[in-house]
Amino acid sequence: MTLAEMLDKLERGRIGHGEAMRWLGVDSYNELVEIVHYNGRQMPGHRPMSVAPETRSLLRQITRPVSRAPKP
Amino acid sequence: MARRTVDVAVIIPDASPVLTLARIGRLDLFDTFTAPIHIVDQVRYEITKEANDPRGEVNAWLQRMGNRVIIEETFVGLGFQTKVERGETPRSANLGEIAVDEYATRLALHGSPSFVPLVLFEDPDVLETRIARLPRVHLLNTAAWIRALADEEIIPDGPTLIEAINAQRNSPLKPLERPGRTARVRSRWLSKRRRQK
Repeated sequence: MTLAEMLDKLERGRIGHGEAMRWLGVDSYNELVEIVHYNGRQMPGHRPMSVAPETRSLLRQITRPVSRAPKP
Repeated sequence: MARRTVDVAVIIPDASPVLTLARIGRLDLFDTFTAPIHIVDQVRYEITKEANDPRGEVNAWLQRMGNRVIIEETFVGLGFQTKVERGETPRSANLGEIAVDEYATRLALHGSPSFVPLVLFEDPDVLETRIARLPRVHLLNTAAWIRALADEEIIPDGPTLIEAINAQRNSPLKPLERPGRTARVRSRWLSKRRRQK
């Protein structure tokens, strides 16, 4: 199993924290979370860190939904 | 407290946000902006040169955007172009950053007091430049922008886009933002938030 496959299984909840930590050879949960985030993944059940309310509010003021133009 | 009207403009100070979206075929995300997008001439050169835009997608995007993208002329960009027209081959490394510094200096000295720059960037070096220290500046990298658009339901496929971007990078693009805040001049969106409380 490659690192990417292991992280994918962890993110989908198919393996537990303990198994992932054993696979990675780490003994701290924080270290596991850091590795998962560093590889652009989320821990199972976690939500991505949200952006600041000010940013969302600003973007609400200056953006609009648009439909994608069909590819030529 | 009376509301003050503010002008928001998006400033793209480095080539990466445009090139990143071009690589995943999603330059159309810039269409979501109703505010004008400012790009300095030297950054336009970077994003449209053949090495970065081999299929001409960025050039076509700039054409399509028309006056929604404002190209800011700088002495740095003009000097570079003059040398190119003379047949010289000047080095363009760092000139984009110097041109953005020139533009930021102009904004700092002569910009409207109601102007709010939303700086969309990827290169962390931007955080050390003058544009990041402008009054009321709001800094946002591509990942944080896409995430905010998804949170606001402006786009339906935020996580997929970030995954597509990360698939083309050696390390994941981490969301980074620095909201603009000031005690003296409240921006329109901050005033709105206060009113809602």
